[in-house]
Amino acid sequence: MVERSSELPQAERKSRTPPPKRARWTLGRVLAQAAIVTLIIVALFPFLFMLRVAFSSARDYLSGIGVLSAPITFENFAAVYGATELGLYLLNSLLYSVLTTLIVLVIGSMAGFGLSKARNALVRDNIMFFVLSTRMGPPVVFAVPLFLLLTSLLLIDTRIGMLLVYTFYNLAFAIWLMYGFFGEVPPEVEEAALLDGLSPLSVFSRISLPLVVPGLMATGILVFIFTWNEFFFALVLTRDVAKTFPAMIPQFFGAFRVDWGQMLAASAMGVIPPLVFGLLIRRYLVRGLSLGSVK
Amino acid sequence: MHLTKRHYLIFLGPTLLVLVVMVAFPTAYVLITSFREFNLTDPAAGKPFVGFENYATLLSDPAFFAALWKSVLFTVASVALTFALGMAIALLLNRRDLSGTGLTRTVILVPLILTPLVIGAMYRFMLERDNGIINEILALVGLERIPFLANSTWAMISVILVDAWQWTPFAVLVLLAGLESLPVEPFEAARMDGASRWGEFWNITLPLLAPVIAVVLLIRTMDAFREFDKIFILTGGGPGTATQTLPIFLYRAGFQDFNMGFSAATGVIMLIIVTIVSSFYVRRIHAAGE
Repeated sequence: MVERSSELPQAERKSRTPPPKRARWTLGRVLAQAAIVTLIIVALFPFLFMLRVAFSSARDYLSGIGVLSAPITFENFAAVYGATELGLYLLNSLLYSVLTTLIVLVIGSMAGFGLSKARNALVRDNIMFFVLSTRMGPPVVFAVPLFLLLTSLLLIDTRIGMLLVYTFYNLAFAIWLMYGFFGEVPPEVEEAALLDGLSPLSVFSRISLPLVVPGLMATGILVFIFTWNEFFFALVLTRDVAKTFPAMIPQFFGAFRVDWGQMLAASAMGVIPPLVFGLLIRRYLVRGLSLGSVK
Repeated sequence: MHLTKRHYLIFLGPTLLVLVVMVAFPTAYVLITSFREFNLTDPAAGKPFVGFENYATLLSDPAFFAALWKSVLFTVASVALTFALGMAIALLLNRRDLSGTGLTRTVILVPLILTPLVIGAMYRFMLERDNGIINEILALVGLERIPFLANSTWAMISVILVDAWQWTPFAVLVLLAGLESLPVEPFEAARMDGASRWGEFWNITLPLLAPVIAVVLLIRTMDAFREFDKIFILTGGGPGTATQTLPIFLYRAGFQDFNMGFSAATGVIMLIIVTIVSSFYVRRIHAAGE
């Protein structure tokens, strides 16, 4: 449905409705332009403010609006490194995100390929629904059984245990997306390769997979971001060695006082990897976020 | 291309293994546990079957219905706000006579990529009554300070607004992609007939965009319904139980009271709600794909 004309080359689509050159500044246009500026400020202010607080001393950030012009200091970063295991937790987050992305892309694209070739619509749709429902199921529902399962396997608070959980947490999503991408590969290409004597496995790895690289990118970046940002499972399934960056943030909130500077310094460090990756390959994000329904 | 059974096994085997161990087991476990009396703090009591007792307790517990109501309120308000704002912003960014639309498209990705827990923590500081920057600004322009997180009504409004801040960009990006792929012919015909801008939007844009709108509404509904991270760090469900939605209610029952049977029953009811909504969703997507 929506993909039709979006497949036109960018230039061609733009040329159909050329921008009105030197349009007059009517009241409506001035208001619309002001709305755009407001949007940019609203979207960016909290993040920039977080950085500002992270780089200022407690005296300054508790003094109200004056923090905006306070001197820059690295003391929060130094303190958070000295007093917490932030380095270890960031490393764990990176380990889980990278490995989960790789594992999920391999298993998920195989499953997506297999399902896209299934002829029995009833079986296929039921499997796809099962797959989707695991994506939609609230993590909090699965937390208790996963907690008891990992405890009985002696995998609570271990990196292996968390990798298993994150694979499960993202696999459904990856299958759903890859199923859609493989469905777009022209069947003639695959048939021709089969006639040339390739086995189905070689068709998958040498013909179809290279054709869905943009899909792999879209899936990969989202799995990376989801895993990096995941909080709930890390909260209930780790204590110490296997803890991740988001799961450490609540520890800054004491009963009587919160160390905002350290907390936001740790947060600023932690949000850099997904931001960098996400913005670098941003054009794949939208498609993945809408579960492939928009190109 | 036709695959044999052996090939299906190769392609789908790893997936089935993961799904059975990590999905079928937990689901079955939740279902069975919901019929048992089972408290982690009292292992000596065992876990005897009690039939529908947990469900009876749950359905006569005013706190459960309060949480269900908070969940519905949070979900409906957040989805409606996200959609209305998202549509307005998408229409704005779709105009060709404004500068900065390209930059805006990139900038609005930031809320989507930021760790939700960090978003919650960040806003908790910004919404503080005494030092929070938002109240500082209100005070600066002569308005009264607002107890954003300390007052029951304001706490609910705050968590909804923070959720909308994070997710409106999602609605914008998906709706914008939809807008850009609409055919031009109906719009040209309407313009020739002298349709107003509003009439054009109402009679042409909205109906043509319906499948994309369905995707946005349903993905947002599912995500808002299971939202945990931001509420957990912003209010923890408080003050009192003012922002205690179902996921927070379930977390408290399971991991603070260790009442496993009761929390499993809550989980089953949540799963039923999610299944009903997501089956509707799958049907919509299938219909849209054809």
